[in-house]
Amino acid sequence: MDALIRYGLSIEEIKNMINSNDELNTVSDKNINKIIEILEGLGCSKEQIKNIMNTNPFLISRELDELKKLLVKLLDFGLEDLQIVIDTNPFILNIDYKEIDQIYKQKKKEGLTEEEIKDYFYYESYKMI
Amino acid sequence: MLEEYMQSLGYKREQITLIKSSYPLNTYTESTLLYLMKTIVNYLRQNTFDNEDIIHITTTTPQIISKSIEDIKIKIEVLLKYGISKIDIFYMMKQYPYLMEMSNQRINNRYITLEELGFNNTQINNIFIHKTEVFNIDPSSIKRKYQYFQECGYKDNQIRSILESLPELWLISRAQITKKLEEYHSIGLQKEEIKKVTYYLPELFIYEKEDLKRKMSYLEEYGYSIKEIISIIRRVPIILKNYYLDTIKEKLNNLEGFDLSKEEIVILTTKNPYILLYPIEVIKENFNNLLENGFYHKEVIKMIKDTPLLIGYNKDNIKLKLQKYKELELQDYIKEHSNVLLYSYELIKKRKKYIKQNEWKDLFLTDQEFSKKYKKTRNDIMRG
Repeated sequence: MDALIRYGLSIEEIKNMINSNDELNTVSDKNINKIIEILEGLGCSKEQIKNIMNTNPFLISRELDELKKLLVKLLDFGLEDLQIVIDTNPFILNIDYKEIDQIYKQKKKEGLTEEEIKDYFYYESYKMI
Repeated sequence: MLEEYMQSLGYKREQITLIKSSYPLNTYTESTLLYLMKTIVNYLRQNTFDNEDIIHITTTTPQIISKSIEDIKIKIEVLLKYGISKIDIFYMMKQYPYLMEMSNQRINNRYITLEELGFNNTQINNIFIHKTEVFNIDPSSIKRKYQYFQECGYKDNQIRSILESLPELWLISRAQITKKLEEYHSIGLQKEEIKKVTYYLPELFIYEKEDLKRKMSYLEEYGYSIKEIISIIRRVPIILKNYYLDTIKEKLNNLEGFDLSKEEIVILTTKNPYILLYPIEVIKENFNNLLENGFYHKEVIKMIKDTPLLIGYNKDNIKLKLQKYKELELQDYIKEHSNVLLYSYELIKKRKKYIKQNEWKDLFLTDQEFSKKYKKTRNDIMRG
């Protein structure tokens, strides 16, 4: 939890995060720092990362490999500003990469163009939980 | 004398006969047996065992009566060395009296086998305390059980967690476990979902599939359909942890305190199951956040119903956006399009310079719409 405090989250925020996701009690600072590193690598600002972790404390106990697979999948769709997608809907980071793939294929099946699918991810991803 | 003594402790006639006829006790004289009985009974009584425990232990493994107290103490020392407390050791003895018959070598070998599979000492102790019979499983069977879970696709940390949380699984056949997994598949859960769900609630391996429904019975009584319950479990399997299940009733009651009907709560929480995990204080704060920023109660209810993600969303982030959009007189727009409160402020801030006053709604256009009207792509805006 020191990693979260060092990052600027308040004790109250961390307490709420633990009450939402009790698995945080067993997550190492090393894991938390790796997640922060990944999000920074995508272009997320400090404020965005705090927003993401506060809103979605379940991200912090996610398996790193699964998270990376998801992010690679989203990048493959051509979503250049992934930090916008994640900042809008932090819960997208909990979804399995295979499910994201299914959503993409479903949208294609519905006849959406590539640009429309990107818009869906940018502006309607809140429908994906 | 012996029979009178044993009857005074509560032994039944057939139990007395069982003990007297067991080897090597059947080779002792009555006086020797009486002495040994009194010695073991006194020792066990001094260590919190009551008569019922004593009868259970001595009838399950009568040979213990022939053991010296020193032998028993040595066995206890072996387990104490592994970090098991004396209280737990005595619990293990009650649970599995054969423990005292096991060789120290067997005990040590089982520890080594589990360590080789990656279990730490605490996990191993938890397994043995809660299911002492595991000591009786041979190392190759222990390894085969572990491999079975690997073949099912579970990760090592998941396997260790499952087998520590539910040590009974060590004793259940692979065929039975496979059958359970197939049952959950038959109620609509996919393979990956079953793995997640059984990781959070290993008891599902021994529950009947109807038990899953019973576990979530409060939700069913509340008004959730089985389909909705499975949908929630599928997306948020962590909800199966007792930590959350124990508080679901309270949370649903608290949500009713916002003047939401049960039907509305079911819809809301099915769209955003994370609501059932947030502490109620967080939900109240987000609700109040909207009320304090100029929206009436009914309007807030509508906004939450339209955009369930608003509940639990970082309140400072929402507050900032509410203040900024208020300055642009977008209150009425937000009431009807509450999803815009989720949009990343980074993008909104950058779009603002391209938009004329009184057209602030255009801040929330999709990339295609914005590009069509303002001839600016996302790339232009983000990197301009």
